[in-house]
This record gives sequence, structure tokens and C-alpha cells, in this order.
Amino acid sequence: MMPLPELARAHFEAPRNAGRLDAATGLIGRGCAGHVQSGIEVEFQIAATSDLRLGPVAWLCLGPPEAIAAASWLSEAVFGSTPGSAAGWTAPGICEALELPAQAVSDVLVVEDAFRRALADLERQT
Amino acid sequence: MTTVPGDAELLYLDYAATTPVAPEVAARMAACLQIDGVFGNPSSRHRWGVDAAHLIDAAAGQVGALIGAPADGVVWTSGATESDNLAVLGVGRFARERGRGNHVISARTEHAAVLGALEQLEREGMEVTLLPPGPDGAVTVEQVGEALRDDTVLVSLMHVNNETGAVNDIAAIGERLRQHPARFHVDAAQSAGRLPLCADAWGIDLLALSGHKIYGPKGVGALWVRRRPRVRLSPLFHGGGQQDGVRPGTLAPHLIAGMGEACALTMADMEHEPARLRGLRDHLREQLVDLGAVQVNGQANGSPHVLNVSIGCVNGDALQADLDGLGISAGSACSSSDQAASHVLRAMGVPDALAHSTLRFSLGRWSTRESVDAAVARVGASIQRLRALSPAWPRYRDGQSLDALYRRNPQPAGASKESR
Repeated sequence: MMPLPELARAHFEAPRNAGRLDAATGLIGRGCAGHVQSGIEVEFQIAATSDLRLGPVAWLCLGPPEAIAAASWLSEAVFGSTPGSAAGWTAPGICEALELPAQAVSDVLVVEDAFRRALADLERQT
Repeated sequence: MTTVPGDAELLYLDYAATTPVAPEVAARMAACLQIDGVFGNPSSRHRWGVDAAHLIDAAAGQVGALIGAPADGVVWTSGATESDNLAVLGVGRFARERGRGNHVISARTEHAAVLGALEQLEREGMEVTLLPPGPDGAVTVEQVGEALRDDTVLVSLMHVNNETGAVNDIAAIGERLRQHPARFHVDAAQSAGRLPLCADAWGIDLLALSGHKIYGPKGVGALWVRRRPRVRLSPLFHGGGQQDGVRPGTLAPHLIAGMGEACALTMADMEHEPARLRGLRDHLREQLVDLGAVQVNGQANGSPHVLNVSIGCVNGDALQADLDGLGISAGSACSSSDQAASHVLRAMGVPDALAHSTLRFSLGRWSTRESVDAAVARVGASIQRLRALSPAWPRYRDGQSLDALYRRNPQPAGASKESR
């Protein structure tokens, strides 16, 4: 296995915002991608603030270290941003931010898919 | 037993991959290296050569004693991979060249050393039947009997599977083969020193051993070849006349002396060590199963030194990264260095994703209750951490089974033969 870059390793070893949001949080967009059977499954929950920016983000990930690190990092990166700007994050961009190798893109794509579905679900509700 | 304390040894639980050289073996080897030692060329007729030849004869006796076979059948090789290749290719080619048959039987769970040699025989025009294992990882005497054909020249099966510890009933299969002219080759690299071996009495014709699996050095192994009645095989190497031309090349007294000493040590430990390892393995298994969503792969009472478990609801790469520094085999590393799912677990019907999150613990001379407990604590903490991140874990806790989570397909019919 390739060693993880420093930032990715920090997120893998001490993930931020893992879990699920409290249902009482308010509006929550939910999205899932992948499947246990393929070795990677990701779930995102995104809360909206009163001014329709992204509030707390929570996630769960059964996946390789790169996917866990990506989910953790993305959950911090998008806090407070607009849905439009958050949607600008793609798997290659996340990999670049975490200095992950090109072969990690396929795993991080599942993270991106779950995140986008959660964003779309949130936008449907607003 | 020599006790080697210290943290470095505590968490090494990968004795099926390799073992450290026992201090007694190292001392024996060191005595063969320098001018005042037994360093001669065993083919030489002067005193140094004769001394080396005597040393090699003594080592063959130690090998023979461990495997329950006459020492005159021992052929020294570079390790079990060469021994397996020499047996499979040597017997197959010898028989085919003389029109004695064209068919070989083996199993889907064999070591790559055997499977690779079988692929080569296929390229040369021979037919190979690979038996599927049962859910416990073993093949049965009935499967072997059904697969036998008039033109079968070789049956090649491992005694103990290196990944799962599953034990094939070699004695029963050998008995069945007494009624058939096919030669019987057994890869005993994992069983030597862990289970009793009676090569002669069990009707084995060729038996492969490795030095470094039994606290001997790397780079030396043996293939025991039955002399009475004589089993003939084509050599892999040519030139020189050593070892009756079956495996030419100057013998290495220090390696052979080391392997002989390792066999003697292992044999001396047979009375107590397997039972001790079995107790540790059972303790390890109980603690791991208690973690939940853990599937034990292999027989409940397989080889005493191996435990193979698949950890549900975590990703294998994440688990492996989290366990960095712990001396166990994880995921695909249980079988090889590539990233493909284990061919052994696949053959047993384990889904790829679950196979990928598999850990193989293998115990040995310096394994203790403390090292087992420390490893379990480490593994348990990793699993707990990763499951807290996993969307599958809540579903398992809510009652979904591993079969349902991983969409396991039913095991294919077990007793049919399968050609590749």
C-alpha cells in the first residue's frame, strides 16, 4: 500500500464530523453512493443554515483510507459555503487538495457522488 | 524452548509467512561457514568434502525423522516452491514423455507454487482437474476418487492450507490412491512441525518442505521422493550430477545443516507445541468472534497455528492501514503481494469485499498469551474505530446478516470436478 500524504493521513487517523446529524437539526439533505459489496459505501448528511448556506455536514464511509480522508476533509471544506460553490468540488479537486495519487480518484468519486446526492436532496427541500 | 523477550517479537503473528531462525539453528549454520567448520563441497573426496557429505546425510536423517520416511529419498532444493515445481513438473513431464498418462488432479486452494506449475503443464498439453473445496476449505477423498481417470499420473494436494489452516485428510487420500498408479504429491510446508506426518505409511510419493517455515533458514527446502518403489521424475535443472541428477548443483552445507537442525528441533517440540498453539489459536478465535460480524474461514479444528477471519463492515485497505506495524497478513497479502482477492477464499465462496477485509494470524514458537491479547486489543480498537465510521455497521447491529450485507451467493456444488 502507498503511504498516505500527511493531510490525508491526519484526516484518516482523526476523522472530522463522522456520524449522523440529529434529526432535530432542521433541514437535512441525505445522499448515499456505493455498496458494501463493492468494498466502498458512503453516506452524507448536510444541514442548511437559515440563510441557506451549508451548516454541519456529517458522513459515514466504509471505504479505503483515501475515501475516509476525502469525506472527512470535504465535510470541513464546505461548511458555511453556498450549495453552488460546494457543488464545485469534484473528485480530482479533492484528490489534489489532499495530494492523493491519481489512482485514488475512483474511490473519491464515490465520496463525490454521495455528497452531490445529499446536496441535491437538500436543494429539493429548499 | 528459547525465550526471546522484547516488543519486537511480541506482535509478530505471521509464522505461516515465515519464521525467524531458531538460535540453535543459527549456531549450527555458523559452524559450517568458516575454515574451521564443515564448509567443504560434499562432492569432493577429501576430508572436507567427506565431512560435508556426512553432515548432509545426518540432515537428511533429521528430515526423514520429521516426516516419517526413509532419509535416502531426500532431495535438497531452494525451498518449497522449487520442491513443488520439481514434483509437479518432474512427475508430469516424465509420465507424459513416456505415454503413461496426461492428467493431473489438484485443488483450487493450492499454493501458487503448485498452481503455477500446473498451468505450465497445461501449456505443455496436459489436462488438469482442480477440485473445488468444501465450505471448510478442504477437499475430500470422495472428490479425489471421482476425479481419478485411467490416464491420471499425479494427484497434488497440500496437507495444510497456508491461508486458512484447513487440513486435507492426506492419510485417507493416500489410502485411496494405493489402488491407482497415479503418484501422490503433498505440499507439507505448513504442516511440518504442526501436525504429525507419516509420509511412508500414508502412501505419499513426493513431499515438499520448506526450511524457513520451521525456524530454519530461507533458501533451502526438500522434496522427499519415494525410493521403494522408485518414483521417477524429470529434473528441472541440468548439469552436474549431484543428487543423482534429480536436482544438480553444489549443495550448501550450512543451509542443509540448518534445515536438518530445524527439523530436529521441531520434532522435539511436537509433543507439546501443537497443543500450546491450538490453545492460543482457540483463545484468539474466541476473542475475535466476540467483536461481532467476524467470520471464521476454515475448519473449526484446522492446523493449530493458523486462524483466518474476515472482518465485516470495514474496508480491507482501511483495516490494513490502521494495523500498520502489526505482524499479521491482511487482505490480499494473505495469499500474495498483489491486490486481487484471495483465490483460496474465492474458492470457498467468500465474497470479494469480505475476503479483502480478511486477517490471517499465524502463531509460532514465540507467540504467547500476552502477544495474542495485545494483538487482539490492537485489532479490536481498529475495528471499533472503523466501524464507527461505517454505514454498514448500524445495519448489522439492526439485524442484517453478513450474508445479506455482502450478498453472498450460495456455495456451488461441492463434489464436482472442475477443469481450468
